[in-house]
Amino acid sequence: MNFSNMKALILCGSLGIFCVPSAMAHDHGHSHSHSHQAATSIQVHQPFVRLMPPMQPNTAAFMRLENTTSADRQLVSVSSHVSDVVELHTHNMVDGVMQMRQVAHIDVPAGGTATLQPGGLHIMLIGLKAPLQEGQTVHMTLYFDDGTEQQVQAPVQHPNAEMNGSHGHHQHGH
Amino acid sequence: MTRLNQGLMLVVVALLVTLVALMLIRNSNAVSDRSPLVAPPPGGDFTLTMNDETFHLSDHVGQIVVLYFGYTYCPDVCPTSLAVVAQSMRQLPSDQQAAIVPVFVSVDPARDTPERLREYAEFFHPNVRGVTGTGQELQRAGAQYGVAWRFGDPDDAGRYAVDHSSNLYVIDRTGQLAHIVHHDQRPDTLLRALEASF
Repeated sequence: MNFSNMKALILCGSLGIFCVPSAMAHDHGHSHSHSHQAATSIQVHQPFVRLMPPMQPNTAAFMRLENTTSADRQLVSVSSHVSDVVELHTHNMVDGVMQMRQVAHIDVPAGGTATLQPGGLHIMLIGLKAPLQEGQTVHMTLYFDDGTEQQVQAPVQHPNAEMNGSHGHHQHGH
Repeated sequence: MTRLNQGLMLVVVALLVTLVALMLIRNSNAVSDRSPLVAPPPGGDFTLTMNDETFHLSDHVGQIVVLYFGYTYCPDVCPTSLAVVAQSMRQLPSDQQAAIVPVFVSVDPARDTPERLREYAEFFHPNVRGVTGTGQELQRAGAQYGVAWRFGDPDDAGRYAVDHSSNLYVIDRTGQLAHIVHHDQRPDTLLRALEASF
């Protein structure tokens, strides 16, 4: 180990672990997709994946994304091992007909939230490799426009268990 | 004219007036809460044939039907709607639940076989019936309920989506269309409509 490495490691040791991978990357030419890529400043609330009838090849994941920073952010892609493809989608009501369309990104404005919910924005898991089970946890990685990412553990939930909260503010009171 | 006859005439007239008034009131309570500029669809009976099985909506006269048009490959809107139906039903006492038959009409007979529809329907609630028919039968039924749908272009893997209206049609025990719950109005609206049907 040479002197500059030592110095880098001592500095990083006192500043926190995030420096280590980039120091390593610099020395060893690692690619960017390291699992310790800087965690995003976006918070993920109440993620869940919807359980679908057994022969369905696709399903959707929902969650609330909160951006507490002063910079606008965008969710640009998602990956998961449970399906062949993962895409971002939304629904538009046009002339009384619901249209589902793929979107390139989901905006999470500075100081704001993006709500992925049934009938609206959602993450589509296309081509499930195996039928999901109720209570199973689906791991997903969310990628943002600033190069950061966020790991999400989303429980698989039967649609009959979805609360009215999926439509926003309304919680069961009666 | 005797006094008795006069009295009888008055009663008959009063009854007629009441009847007419009730009819007018019933028609002005829109089946849908939407703008009265759009006339509600007529509803009514329809027939769908799948292989050797025939479905008649009128088979369910005496029960409350919640009708929905969609397709099983629907990624989100259809499962959400059926889940809303199941959730609303489960808030009712079991004897009322037993009288409700959700009917899921698939507009995609090419992919939605009777077997697939059965599996799909029972996933949400044991009472749900999944049915489909010929293109012509579906068009007719769709027109009666004011349902629109459009097939999307298939991708390289042959997958296609179907854009469709998303409304729940509550049909009362006489087979009449009693309430339309629009996509953005559920779930409490559906529960109230069901309760009102008993």
